[in-house]
Amino acid sequence: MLTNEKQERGQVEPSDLQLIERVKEGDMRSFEMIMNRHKAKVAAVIFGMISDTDSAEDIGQEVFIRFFKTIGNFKGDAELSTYLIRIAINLSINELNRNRKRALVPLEKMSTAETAGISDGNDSSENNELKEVLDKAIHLLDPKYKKVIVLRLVNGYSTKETAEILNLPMGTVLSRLARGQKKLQQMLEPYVKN
Amino acid sequence: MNRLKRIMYKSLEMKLSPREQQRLDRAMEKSPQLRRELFLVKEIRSAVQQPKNSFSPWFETKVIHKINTLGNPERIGLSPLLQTYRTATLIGLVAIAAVIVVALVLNGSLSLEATTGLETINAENLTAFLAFEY
Repeated sequence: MLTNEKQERGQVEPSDLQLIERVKEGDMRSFEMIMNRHKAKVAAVIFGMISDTDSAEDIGQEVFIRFFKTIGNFKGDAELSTYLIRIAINLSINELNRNRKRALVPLEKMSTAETAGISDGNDSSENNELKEVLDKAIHLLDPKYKKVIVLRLVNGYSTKETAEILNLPMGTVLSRLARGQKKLQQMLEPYVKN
Repeated sequence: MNRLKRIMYKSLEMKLSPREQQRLDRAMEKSPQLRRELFLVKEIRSAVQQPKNSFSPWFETKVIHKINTLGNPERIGLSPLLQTYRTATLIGLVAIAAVIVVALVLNGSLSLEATTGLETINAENLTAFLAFEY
């Protein structure tokens, strides 16, 4: 809406590369604009990877601080959002590795209420429970499967975009996606009603 | 993971070739286990949801504050020591500039006497100065 109004008034939003050039000249307002433009995508990836809200916020800040420190290295070969998401995924995986023991809560330890299972009905409380269990199951995945699952299924990027972000061949993305889903299906199987 | 399973998962991502589709359809007809697995995976895919979380308000301000606290060596291009004492350095430079300007205006000269307000000092003058003036 705001963009449309600006376009009607003849104001064109500066591109990411234009903003980056301004930041290099010391314009912090442009850096704020970059953050404002990309923080939602960065947040979606980090919150998909990390369940702890406080850590996710810290990682989000670290993503943009790292980008600022190395802004001279950004050549524009990839989209800025792709570049930022790569930093976000790497930092999230570092965090997961640091807290691996804490993160590995076995699915079996969840309460029965949390693992009520899938039914063919439209009971919304059961659906919410399934979503909760599924969220926990995703967090138990190995990071190499988890990042593909989060980008493709949680964040809704296409397989091609996921491959580009992770800098992996399409075949590898499809294979990890299949294995990740298989693992999720195996983890959830005991809790699913016939 | 066998080839049939790979085809099944591939079908969730892209259109299969007619031959692959035919093979999958035939296997699905025969195997209730495969049908259940596909049902479950589809349920999982539809249940996976985008987290509603977003960063807290003033996110940008917090990041800018952290950046300002950390400093930016690349952009400023000064040594860490000079950056640490940047304020003191600037005040010193301004003071020196002020002394030079005052000396020039009052004396029209930048000699040591003019800028410090002292005449040429030697040991004898200094002793006399300290003995008689103080």
